[in-house]
Amino acid sequence: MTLKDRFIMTDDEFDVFVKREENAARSFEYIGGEVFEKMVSNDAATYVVSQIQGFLFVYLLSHKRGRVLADNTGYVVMGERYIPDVSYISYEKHPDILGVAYRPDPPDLAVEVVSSARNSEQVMLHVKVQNYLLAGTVVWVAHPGKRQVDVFEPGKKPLTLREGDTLTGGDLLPGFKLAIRTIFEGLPENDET
Amino acid sequence: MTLQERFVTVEEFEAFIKRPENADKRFEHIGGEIYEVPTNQIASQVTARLLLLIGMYLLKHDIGHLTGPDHGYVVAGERYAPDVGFISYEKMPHSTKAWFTPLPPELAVKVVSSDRADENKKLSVKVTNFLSTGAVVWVVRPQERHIEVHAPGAPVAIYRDDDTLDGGQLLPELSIKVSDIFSVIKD
Repeated sequence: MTLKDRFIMTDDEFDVFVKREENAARSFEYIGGEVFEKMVSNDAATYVVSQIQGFLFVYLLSHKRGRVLADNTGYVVMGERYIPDVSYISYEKHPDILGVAYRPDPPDLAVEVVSSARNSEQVMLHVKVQNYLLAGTVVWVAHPGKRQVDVFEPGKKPLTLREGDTLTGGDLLPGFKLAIRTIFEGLPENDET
Repeated sequence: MTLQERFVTVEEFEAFIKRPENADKRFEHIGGEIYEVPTNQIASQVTARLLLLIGMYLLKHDIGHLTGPDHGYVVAGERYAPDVGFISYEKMPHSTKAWFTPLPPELAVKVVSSDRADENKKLSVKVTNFLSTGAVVWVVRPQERHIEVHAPGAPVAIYRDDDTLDGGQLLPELSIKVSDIFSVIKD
């Protein structure tokens, strides 16, 4: 990313920007006052996204507590606009599907999968994590190359889970268990992620 | 750079960094793993400028300890080596001979060399742990020419171009123009 490619604007300007006709088919995030386009990811990252989304879906079939939403669902988080790779919204906090591009309230859980730590959007990942935490959102950051998941819960020490560990749902998704090994099964190692 | 895939304890980390072959290297213990802290010229220049500007302020307001990139701190049980660290005399009256100051800094500055993926990967863990101890964190990105200010309980604020960073309650009256930091980069 070079300086001249940057789009720095206010949140109101962002809302106008994304509604322009030429942007209708594109996805944008608004992070740290700057606009980032969501780009095509790599297959290791999208596989991990599918895995986590799928296991959450299966869990929610028998625990009717809320909904899991796919990539491309936007949220307003501390005045910014984020598009997590997977998100979970509880019926309690989010009873309705709103038919909007960016839901006005932050999700209960946001999952981000690192596809390349060099992408400009992912350089801003820790900004998103801190704003999510402040908004009360639990964040799982999956690193396919390292086969790790970093778990961030508001007010708690971050936890790094590795092969052999189990990701659990905590208070948010009681009874949810997913082996880290299962998430990353068959993926090549990669220093980048 | 991950030196060891497996989890290492704090004790193993302490022993590792004291090995003779590691004498000139800097390491951090993040999320239970060992990371080496390398730096490029631009990141080093930016660090030097920050140390100068904060150091000049401290010459006039002698209120705390300022450390450079070669010193570490114990933060939430882990070991971090911020490029710039500040801790007030109020929190810590005397200097220490310890390799890692046993207390977290009150201000930690990380200058990121954006060409290195591994510096970004674990930044969330570090920033979260720093914030949990009450520290303010500045993440300085020479490539993006911006500074992200993380303060406990506050949304992340980004300073660029003509913005001016201030020291808040920690470093009262400290005022640094963002352009004075990045003007060291000649490209």
